[in-house]
Amino acid sequence: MERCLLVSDVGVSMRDERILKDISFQVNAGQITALIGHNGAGKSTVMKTIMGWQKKSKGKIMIQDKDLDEDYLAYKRLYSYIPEEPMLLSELTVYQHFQLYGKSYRIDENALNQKVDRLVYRFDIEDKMNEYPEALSKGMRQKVQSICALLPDVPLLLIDEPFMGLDVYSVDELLDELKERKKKGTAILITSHQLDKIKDISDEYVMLRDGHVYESGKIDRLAELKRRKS
Amino acid sequence: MREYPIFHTYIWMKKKRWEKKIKIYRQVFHLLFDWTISVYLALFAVPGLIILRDWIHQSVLLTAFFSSFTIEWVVIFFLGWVALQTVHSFRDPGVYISSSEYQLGLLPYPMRNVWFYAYLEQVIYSILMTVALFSLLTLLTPLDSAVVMLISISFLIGKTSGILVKWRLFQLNLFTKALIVALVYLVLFALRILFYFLDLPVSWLLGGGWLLVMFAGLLLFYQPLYNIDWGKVVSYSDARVWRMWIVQQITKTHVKPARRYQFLQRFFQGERARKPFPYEMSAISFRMWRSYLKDQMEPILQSAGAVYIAGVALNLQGNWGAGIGLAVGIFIFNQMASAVFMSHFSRSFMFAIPWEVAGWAQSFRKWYVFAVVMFLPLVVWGFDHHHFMLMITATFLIMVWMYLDLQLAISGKFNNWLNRSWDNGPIHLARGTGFVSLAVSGIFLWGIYMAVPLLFLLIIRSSWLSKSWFSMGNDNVA
Repeated sequence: MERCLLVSDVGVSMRDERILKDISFQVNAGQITALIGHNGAGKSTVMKTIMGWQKKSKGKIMIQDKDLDEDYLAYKRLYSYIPEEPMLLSELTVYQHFQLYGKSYRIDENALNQKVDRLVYRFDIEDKMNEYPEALSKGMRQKVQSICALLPDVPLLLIDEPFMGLDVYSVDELLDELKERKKKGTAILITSHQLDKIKDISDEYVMLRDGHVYESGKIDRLAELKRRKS
Repeated sequence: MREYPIFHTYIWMKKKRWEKKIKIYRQVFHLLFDWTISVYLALFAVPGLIILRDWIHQSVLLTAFFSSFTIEWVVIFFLGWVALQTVHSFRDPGVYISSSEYQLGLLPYPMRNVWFYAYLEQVIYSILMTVALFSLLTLLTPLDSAVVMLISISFLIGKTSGILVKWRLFQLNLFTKALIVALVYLVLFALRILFYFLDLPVSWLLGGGWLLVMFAGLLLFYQPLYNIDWGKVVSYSDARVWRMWIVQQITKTHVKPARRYQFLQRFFQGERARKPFPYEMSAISFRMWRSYLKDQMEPILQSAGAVYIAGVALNLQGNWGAGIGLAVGIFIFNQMASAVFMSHFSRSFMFAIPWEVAGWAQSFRKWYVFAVVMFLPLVVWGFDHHHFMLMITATFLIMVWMYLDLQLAISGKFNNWLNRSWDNGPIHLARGTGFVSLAVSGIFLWGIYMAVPLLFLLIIRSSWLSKSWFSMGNDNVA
């Protein structure tokens, strides 16, 4: 299977404290990898480091053949991100957010509108297109944020706690969407506390503990380990 | 279980808040002052006030001003003061019910009592301010004691009644509020005109105004908790209670104030603003810059002020000073503008999308040009020793140069961001050459004529630049 994301020997330090220690793993195309761990294990920091949001102190991160350190602007086109907390802009309506994402990912206008139509129908927010974020509930904002990230056909999807605030129906729709993306060959790195929700769609897992990779492998193995422990 | 009366609980809460605030102030002041400096400052304060008093009394201009300050002026001061209170109601509730006070109302304490104590606090504050005003005017100015008394009473009546005026108006919707404020202005104006034409004694107008305002205050005291927008009140009060200016300046923290003048936001979020953008990066980002620049207005105005001071103050030193002032001013302005541009890319949502740098830059430059066109002529017109047409040409060329220099400044910062600082040598060279030419232009105006073509040449010819940010995400930018 073709490698999509490579995280090699990555370390992150903040105020002389090592937050991430020698993190290494990879995510292949058409594969979903669950990044799991307790609160404070470093999951969100790993996500932010992959995006270049958090500066790393050492190591190498590549998406396909693009290196984070060497060609950041091209690298940024290769992933999209669903954050734990929606990052919507108060000055843009829902549809204007879709336009911003569409233009940033260089999606043709007709293609963008087709995708928007499909996704807003799927997540049931057709009547919210002209609303500003402050008029939406947290769940609605999370849906808008998810749609934004699902608009581009990028090789890598980074998803941080995607189910927070979503209703059961929308969680199912998101899971279905992710399965479809996986079939199309998208690599997905997902973090969630709700292991039961992601274990059915994930192929691999990377478990973090105190800022380092505690263990990793096939998701079946994790389920087996949990069974044995219980 | 022992029950605490509301008054004790309210005072206890205030005491705890003050203790916390004093602790913060103390920590901050320890950073700024030591005991020696504080003692010196205290010692100098008293003779300082005496010197100020003597200076005011001896100044011919100020004495003339104070002697002209009659009851006519007191009336104008009073009417203006009342009008000002109504305008403040657009963003200030007058009585401050922060989250803590509001939570007292949720406990088994009557909200009306909580509100009353908060109101009383403001009345006491107004009385203290009046005493301070009275003392200052009496001690420092040669004003007649009757006038000082009238000013103080007017201030007290306006201030105390204003508390309730603000409280009631703050709760109203924008349209009704605007209508009432306009009406108040109209009535005050009509009163003034009426007294002028009827040739009635001005003291009647002042007395009548006092009675009218006090009566309005008493009327508004009825049912003060009817139809209150608690969310808005609490949000403003929270920001006000913890907005400690000195602490914020020193610790570089910022308590976000409650939104001011929401009609502006409503204007920007109207039907027209909700329409989809033309599908162009520059059109989308133009809106986002508007909002971002609004948030960054403080540093922008500070550096614009620095530009102005550098430009105008150095101009007083003669031709050479004018050139250097302009060069330094533009350097500061462009450094600020490029820093604002770059800081936008550190916003969290920007990490979630690819950067169409050229599109973002295109719309940013529109705002930049707007700012420069508005501001630069003011500075350049400080050069008063050249021919008019020559100055127009110079202004235009300086604008072109600023525009090009901004691109260089952004390129340099972007290269640093992308760890490509080794690409910055030619950028520093080009900018340095430009600034020297600009500085020399104070003495020899041809310096600016040299700087612009030089920069054009460098930018067009240099492949290093066209490979850097001009092409960043530029493949498909509309």
